[in-house]
Amino acid sequence: MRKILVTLLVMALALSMTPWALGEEASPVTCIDFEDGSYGFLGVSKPNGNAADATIEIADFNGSKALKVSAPAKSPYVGINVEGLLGDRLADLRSVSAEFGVDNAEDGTFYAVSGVIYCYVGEANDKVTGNWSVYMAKKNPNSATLTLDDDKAFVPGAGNYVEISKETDNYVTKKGGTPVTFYIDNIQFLDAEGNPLPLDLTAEYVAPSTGTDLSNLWALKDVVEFPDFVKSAGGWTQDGLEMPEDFVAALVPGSVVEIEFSSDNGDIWAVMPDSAAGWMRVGGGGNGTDYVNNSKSIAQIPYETFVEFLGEDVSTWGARMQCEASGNWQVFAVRVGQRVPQVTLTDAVTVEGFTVSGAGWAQAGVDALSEDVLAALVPGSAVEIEFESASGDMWIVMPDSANTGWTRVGQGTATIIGNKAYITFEQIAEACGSENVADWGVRMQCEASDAWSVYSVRVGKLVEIPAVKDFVDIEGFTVSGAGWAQAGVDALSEDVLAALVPGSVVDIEFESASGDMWIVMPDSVNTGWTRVGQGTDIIANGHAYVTFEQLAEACGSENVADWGPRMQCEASDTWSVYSVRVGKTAE
Amino acid sequence: MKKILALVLALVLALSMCANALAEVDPSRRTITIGLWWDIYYDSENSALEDDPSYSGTESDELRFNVVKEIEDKYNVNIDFVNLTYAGTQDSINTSIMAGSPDCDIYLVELGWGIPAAESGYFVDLHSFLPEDHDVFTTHNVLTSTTYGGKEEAYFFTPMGMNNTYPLMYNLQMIEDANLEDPRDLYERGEWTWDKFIEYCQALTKDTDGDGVNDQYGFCGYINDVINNLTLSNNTTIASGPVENFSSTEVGECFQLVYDMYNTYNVCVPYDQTESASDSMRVAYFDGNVAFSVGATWILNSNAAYGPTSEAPLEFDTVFIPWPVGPHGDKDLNPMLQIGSGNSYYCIPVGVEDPELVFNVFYDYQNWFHDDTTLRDDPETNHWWIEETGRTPEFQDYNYEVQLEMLTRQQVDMYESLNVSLDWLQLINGEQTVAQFQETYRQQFQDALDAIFK
Repeated sequence: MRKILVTLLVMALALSMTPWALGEEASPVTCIDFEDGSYGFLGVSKPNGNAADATIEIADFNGSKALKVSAPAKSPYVGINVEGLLGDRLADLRSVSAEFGVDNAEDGTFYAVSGVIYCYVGEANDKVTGNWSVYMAKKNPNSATLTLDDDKAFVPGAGNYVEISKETDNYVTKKGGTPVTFYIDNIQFLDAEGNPLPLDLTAEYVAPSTGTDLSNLWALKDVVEFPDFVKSAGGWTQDGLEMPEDFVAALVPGSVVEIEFSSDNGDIWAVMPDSAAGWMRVGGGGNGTDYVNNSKSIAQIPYETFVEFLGEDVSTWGARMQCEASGNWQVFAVRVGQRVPQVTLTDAVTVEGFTVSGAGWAQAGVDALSEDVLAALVPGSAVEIEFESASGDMWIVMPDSANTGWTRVGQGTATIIGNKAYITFEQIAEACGSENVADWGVRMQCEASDAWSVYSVRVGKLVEIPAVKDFVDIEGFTVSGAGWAQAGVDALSEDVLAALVPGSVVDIEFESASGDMWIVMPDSVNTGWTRVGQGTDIIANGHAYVTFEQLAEACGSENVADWGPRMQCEASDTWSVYSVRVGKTAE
Repeated sequence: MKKILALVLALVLALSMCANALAEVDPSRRTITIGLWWDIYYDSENSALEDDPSYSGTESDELRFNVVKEIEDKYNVNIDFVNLTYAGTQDSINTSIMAGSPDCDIYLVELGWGIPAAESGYFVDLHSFLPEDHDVFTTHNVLTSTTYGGKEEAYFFTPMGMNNTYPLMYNLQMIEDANLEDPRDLYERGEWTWDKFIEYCQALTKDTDGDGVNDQYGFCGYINDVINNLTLSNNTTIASGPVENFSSTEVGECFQLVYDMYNTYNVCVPYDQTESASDSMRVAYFDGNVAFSVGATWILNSNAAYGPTSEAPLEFDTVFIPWPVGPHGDKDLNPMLQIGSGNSYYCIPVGVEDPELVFNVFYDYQNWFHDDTTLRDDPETNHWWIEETGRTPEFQDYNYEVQLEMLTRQQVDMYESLNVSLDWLQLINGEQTVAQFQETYRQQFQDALDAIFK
């Protein structure tokens, strides 16, 4: 009997210690300690060119589980779906805290590392940063907290997120070896009083959308899709389909075949198995090269490359087109279109008040162009319209043209790249019958053939962004500096020098507070210390392009040996260069 | 017997190894740790000259290597330069000093965040343990200290060595052709003042071909360089402490001089109104029709003015001279080199044991040249700073001495890094009076300083 009583007592005691027995709810999770092995709410992020192909996993560190972040090179970034974790408490988030630890380096020694906690906040995802560091072995792990200033806040629904990076690694700096592995643990999100906010660990990480990566590529017009070209295979294995008639008809001079893909090695090319010239690889695998974007997700093979290996008569190219790569590959879409250069504006001025929308064939715009906009409308300039329309088209209307009256400009002829339409000064001048902007009238409007919205209109100098391939990296060109300071490499390697030929371009991936970037050749034999491309290089999408011809002109010689051994970068305000490479532009 | 001998030998060997081991872990031997964000060679970790990747076999390399052993023996310490990373240095300062046990005996800091830390009481004032006639305060052969905001305390110190200075430079032949006295003589006599400078600029601004347009000018300079040096020459600063000085009388005098040079005396090359001014206004002097401009070795070098690689050296002599003394300046007291918030200095954190020992170790480490400044300023090492500035050795040596003198008289002014965007053209073009100009930006400077000194 006593045994039964004791047993009942123990059971009652045990039950009383479980909160659900009393109807209490379990304590909410307020700290990400990784002890349960889950981490679906975060993922590897690649926000810029310095971001590494990192791997993340849960591992033991300092006596508990932690998120282990490894990368073979460059800087690993981890993104966190903070809105998913915090739900409707996101707006209460004021501080992010975490613990950071590092492994010893390959040589068994501790080296200091540091990184950044990024918070993307507000409607415009403004970047707020705070540093973390593990600077001494006796302070490993070390904690860090980033607190937002009063004028910054997370906004639900705005796509705000948190990112953690490791950006300084003394082992790499000093020894040049593999970056040390670092660990993140005990992440907490705190409110204004410093209380940890409850977390929903079932949130799923979704990488922030950065749009389609069209780097190194052409834009396409008059596109013909290759239906159902969704294929996959192992390395050096081909698969494809018979080409539709309209696809073949579009294979004409000036066209380009575009392949959306992923592959283990970042490469893809076409195979024409039934060609009169024989079974033939085109654009890779030993038969030429293709243009591939930096994300290794889109490749383009110009018509001329097909001609090089198959001859000019398309009817002899055979019925089928296949794809192939050096590793496992998948192709999601194939299309052909006429290539047009990607363009952008420099020295652009915004037409204020041009956020308008309308139904199909309705016009809306601004009643008067400002003085600075009129001054920017000069030969070589263009109007850039950021828009959406159900029909995909967009043009402008000049209702008060002195010579031509109410006039449409660019209907069917505007260059449309993604969500932007470009209409040149020359197109407007021709349509309005005058190169004198005063004759064009005071109003400018937009129009499309179906419902449309215009988000912004700018006017600036129109520049083409080159399509580039066959890149040769300039090793060690991850540098940064203050405004008007230079940094770079002390010697260009033989393969880089060999790539610097007429038609080549130096492609600099960078960020600068001023938005500008150029090259300095400090040892130019003919011209001494020389800036190249200052204000004249093409800058677009975080890249600056300086051509061989610009370098030759600035250095007073087409002989690369006369340019001197060093190449540096410079900008007019604080800058970072993530990579520099030399590529070949289309002839 | 052989066995016994072998045993004895082994014992002796073992004992000797123990003795070495004991010597290496001498518990009384202190390690002086210097925290910063790059790698410095040499320290007690280095056993060979080649440990420094930039070792080039010079005498100074050898002396810098040898001084470590000398210090170890003299003070019974090891020296350890620790690369904490930039963020780690700030982290260590903010956490370990606050906790009362600094991780390092000396830190390198940038003044932009070092000054607020000093304001929070994180660093030791050198005056608290060093005599007033110490080299760091007076002769500056090895180290120099700097103060800020009119404070007496000296928290920050740095090794002496060549760096950029911005003297006034002039075209000697133009002065001589105008039968004007050499400004060097005026300087020596204490007569090189703003008034005399304007007098010279007026005399040297001319329409030489009689077409009604000036084609020779008294002065040309990039406005930021000019303001930096005029404030120094008037013994004032714009923003070096918790209270802005942009609106002060002394700074106003500097602005008035600029205003007058462009709008009253008209003695300057017309100012470039574009963003290229930092280039164009620094190079106009080299056309040979400007008497005075802002000098710097790098400016002369980048224009191939002189120097061994210049294919077409200037055909006139350039002379460096300290800037003329302003109405509130003093020839003997004026600072001559502006230190901005991005400049790096060493400091000793509060809580360090025996800061005098720490300082002396660091001082001796930096004094690898054993007070022989000809080694520190070895022409073999510093030839660039010498050869680039003059047409002949006479002017090269003179200009080098002026640079050395200017390096010893440093003054903190953070105004350029406070993100206050000054529209200097308003002043240069006469679109604002000095009072209007000062009022336009006064509060912005104060707000920026409040953010630092909060």
